[in-house]
Amino acid sequence: MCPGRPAKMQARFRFTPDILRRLGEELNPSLDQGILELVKNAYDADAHECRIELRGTDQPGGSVRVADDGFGMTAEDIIGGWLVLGRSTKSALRPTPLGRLPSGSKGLGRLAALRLGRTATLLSRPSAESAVEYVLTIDWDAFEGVSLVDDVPLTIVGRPRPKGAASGTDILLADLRTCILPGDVKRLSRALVLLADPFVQDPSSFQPILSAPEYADAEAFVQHRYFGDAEFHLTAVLDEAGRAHATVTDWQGATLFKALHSDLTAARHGAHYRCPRATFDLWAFILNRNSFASRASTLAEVKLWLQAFGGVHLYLNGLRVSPYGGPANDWMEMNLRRAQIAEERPSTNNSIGRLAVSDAQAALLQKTDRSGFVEGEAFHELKAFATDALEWMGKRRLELADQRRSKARVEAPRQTERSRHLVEKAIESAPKRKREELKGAFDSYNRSRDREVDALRREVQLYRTLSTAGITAATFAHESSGNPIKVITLSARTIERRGKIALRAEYASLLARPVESILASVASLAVLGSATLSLIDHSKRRVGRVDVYAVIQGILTTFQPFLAGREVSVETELAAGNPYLRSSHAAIEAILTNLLNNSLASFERVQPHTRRILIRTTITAHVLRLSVLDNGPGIAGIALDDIWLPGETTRPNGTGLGLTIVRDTVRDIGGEVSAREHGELGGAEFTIELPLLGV
Amino acid sequence: MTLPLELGGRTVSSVSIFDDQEDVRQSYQETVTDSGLKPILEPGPLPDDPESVAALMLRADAAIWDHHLRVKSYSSKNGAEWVAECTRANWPALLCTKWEGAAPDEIRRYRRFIPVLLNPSDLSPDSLRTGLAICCDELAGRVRPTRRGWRTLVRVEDASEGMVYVILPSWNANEVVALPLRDLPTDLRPLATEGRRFHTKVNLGAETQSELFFFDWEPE
Repeated sequence: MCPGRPAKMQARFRFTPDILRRLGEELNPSLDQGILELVKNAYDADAHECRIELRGTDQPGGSVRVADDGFGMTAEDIIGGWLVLGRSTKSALRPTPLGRLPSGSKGLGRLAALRLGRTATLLSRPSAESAVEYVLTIDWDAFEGVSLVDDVPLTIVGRPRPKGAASGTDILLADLRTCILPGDVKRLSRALVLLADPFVQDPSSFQPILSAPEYADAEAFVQHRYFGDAEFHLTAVLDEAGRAHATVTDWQGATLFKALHSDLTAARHGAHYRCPRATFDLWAFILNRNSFASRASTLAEVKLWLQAFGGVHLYLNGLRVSPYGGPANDWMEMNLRRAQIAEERPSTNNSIGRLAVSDAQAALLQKTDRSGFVEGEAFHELKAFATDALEWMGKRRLELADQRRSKARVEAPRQTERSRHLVEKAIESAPKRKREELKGAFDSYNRSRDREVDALRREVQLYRTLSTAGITAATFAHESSGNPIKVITLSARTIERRGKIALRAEYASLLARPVESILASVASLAVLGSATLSLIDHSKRRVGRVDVYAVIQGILTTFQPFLAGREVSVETELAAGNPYLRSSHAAIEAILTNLLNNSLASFERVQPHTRRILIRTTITAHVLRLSVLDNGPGIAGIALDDIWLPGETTRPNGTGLGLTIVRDTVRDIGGEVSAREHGELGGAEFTIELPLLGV
Repeated sequence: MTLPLELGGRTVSSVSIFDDQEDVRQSYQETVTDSGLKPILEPGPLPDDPESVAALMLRADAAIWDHHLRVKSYSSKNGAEWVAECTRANWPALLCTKWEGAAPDEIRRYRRFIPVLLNPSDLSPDSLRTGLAICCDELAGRVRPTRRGWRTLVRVEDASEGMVYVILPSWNANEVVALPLRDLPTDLRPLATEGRRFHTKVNLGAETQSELFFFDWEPE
C-alpha cells in the first residue's frame, strides 16, 4: 500500500458505449421485434391505440414513429424507468389501472429499436401532469467519441403542453441506418395484427395500427374470422390449482366431447399441471370441398387465411409472445404428431389456436433476446397441458371416425343392394331390344366388382392373420424357442465337456462333428426367435435419426446364421460416410428385410452355383441410393409394374406383401423405389432412393 | 466330487437352480455338477412370504436364476426381481437369460442389483464359477468399474408409448437408451418430455447399454 493513499476506495461498474450495441441490436437483431417492444410499452401504459408510421423507410435515412394514447411518463418515470435497462420482470408485476399485467420488458428490445435511427426523440405527455410535456432527444453519434456511457449526458426538457393535447407517448426514430424491406414490413404487420389477441373481439382492447398497405391487408385478413367454419373447436381450461377440463364442439356449436382432468391426464397419472392458469382454444378445419359445400366462406379463402395465421399462438397476459405460432413454428409438434398418427390430427396448415396464459407471478420468463420462453418447468407444464388436450381430442376424433367406418361397413352392402335394385329396375324399363345387352353389361360389372371386393377382403384378412402370427410368436417366444434351445445348448455343451474328458483323443473323431452340428443348428433356431421379437421392439418404431449403415449391419448380423445355412453370401459396397435420415429403425429394417427375403425366396426357384446378394449404396447430394441385387432367376412370370401390388406373388404360399411393404414404406419416408428384372448380377435388382439429413 | 469356491471368507459349495421348466433345471444341473458344485433343484412353486423366502435362501450357498418365471405358476415374480432380492439379502445370485427375449425394460430397473447376467449359451463351468466369484466380490463391496454408479446428466430425447428415450452425454452422446417411464420416480414422470434434463446416477463404465442402470434420480 502506498503511503498517503486512503485504505478504502469507492468503485462501481461502468460501461463503454459498445455495450449499447451488444445489448441492443446484437442481442435483438430483429427489426420487427424491436418495434414490437415499443408497442408493448404502449400496452403497458394502458394505451387504447398505438400508431406506427414508417416514412421513407424504403431507403436509409427514413423514420419510424410510434405514438400511443396511454398515460405517458413524467420526468421521474423516464429517469427511473424508461432509461433503466435490464430491470427484472418480477419487480414490475403490478397490474395497470386497466388491469393489464405489464409485458415484462427489460428494455433491451426497446434499446435495439431506439438505436434503429441515428437519433431517437421521446415526447411524453403524462396524464398525471396535464399541463406539461417532456422531450428527450438521444443522439447516438454522441456515444461514438466517448469512453464511457456515463460521459454522454441526456437532458429531459419539460415545457408547457399545447392546449388539447391528450396524454400519451410519441417516439420518433429518425435517420434510420438501414432501410426496412417489404418482407420486414409484412412480418411486422403480421406480428402487430396478432399482438393483442385478435381472437377476442373486444372494441375496447388494445389496437396497434401500422400505416402501411401490408398492415391493412393483414388486418383485413385476420378480421375475416373464419372460426365459425372450423369443423371442431377445442376449448381447454386450466385453473389456478393446475386442474384442467376440456370440451370439443362442432361447427354448429353442438358439444361432441367433454373431458375432466382425469381424462386429460391419464398418461401422467392425474398429476396437476404446475404452471399458471390458461385457456387453450383450437379451431381445426377439414379442408376439402365436401365439408365446405354448406359453409358461407370458400375453401380457398380459409386455406389462405390459415396459411397466413395458422398454428398455435401463445398469449401471455394479453400480448402475443413470439415465436409461438409464427411461420414454420410448430412448437406443439402438431405436424410431427400428425406424421406419426395421420388420422384425425390437426396440423399448422389446417388449424389455428390460441393459448392464453394469465401469469401474475412471473412463473414464465421470456428470454432476453425475445426468442421465446426460458424452457423451465412452468413452460414445459404449460405445453404439456395443451398437448394433452390435443391428444385427447385426437383420440376422441379417432373414435368418432371408427364409429363412422363401422357404420359405413354395415351400410355399404345395403346401399349396394339398393343401387343394384334400382339399376335392375331401370333395365327392366328399357326398350326390349336393349334390355339383354344392358343386363349382360351390368352382370359383367357386378362380377368384376364382386371379385374386387373379394380380393380386398382377402387382403385385409391376410394382414390380420400375419399380425396375429406375429403376436402369437411374440407371446409364445419363451416356450417355442427359449426353453428348448436352452436345454439343447446346455445339454450339447455337457456332452462336449464330458465327452472330451471321457474319450480324450477319440472325442474329435467320434463326437466333435455331431455336437458342433447341434450347436450350429441351435444357433440358427435361436436367431429365428430373437429376430422375430427384435422386429417388433417398440423402440425401433420411434421416429428419429436413423443411421442407415447401422441398420444394414444389424440385419446382416441377425440373418447371418440363416444366410450361412442357405449358403448365401452377402457382399456390401457401401459409400463412404455415415448416412442418416429421419425415420424409424423399423421402417428401414422392413425395407431391407423384405428385399433380402425376396432374394432368398428367388434362390429356391433356380439353384445358381453360388448364391450371391449384393447391397450397394451411393450418396449424391442429400440422397442415398440403396441397391439390393442378387444372382437368382430375376423377375419373371409377372409384369414389372405388378410386383408391388399386394397379393401378387410367384411363390406358392407366398403372401405377396413383402414388396408392397417395401414400396409403401419407402414412399412414407419420401423416397422412390424401382426394380429391374435382370440386374448387374443377373437376378433381380431393386433400387431405393431415400432423402438424407446428413452423411 | 465338489470343489467349493473360497471367496474372501465365503464358501460356495452348492447352487440352487431356479427355472420353471424341469428339463431346463436338469440341463443347468449338469453344468453346475461339472463346475465342481452341488446342484439343488428348486421345483417350485416359489413362496412370497418373507419367512419362506429367507428359508429358501438357506438351502444353498448361491443361486442361478432364469428370468421368465411367471409364464406358469412357478413364481409371482420374474427372475430379475428375485436376483435383486437375493443380492439385497446378501445371497450370491446370478441371472441366466437371453437379453433380447427378456425385454431390457423388464430387467433394467433391477440391474443395479444383478451383478452378473449370463446368456445361457455362454454358461459353462468356468463362466459359472467366475460369475459366482464376481457376485461374492460385489457383495463384499468390491464393485467392478463397469458397475460403479456416477452422478451424471441425462437428456430426454423423446417420450412415447410409456417409454422414455434418453442420451447420456458422459457415456455416449450418439446412443439413445430406452427406459420405461415407470422406472422414473413418480414426481419426475410428468416432466420427462423432449429436451428435459435430469441428474441421476448411472454406471458410466458399462460397455453396452444393456448393462446400464439408473438410480438416485434427483428431484427438480
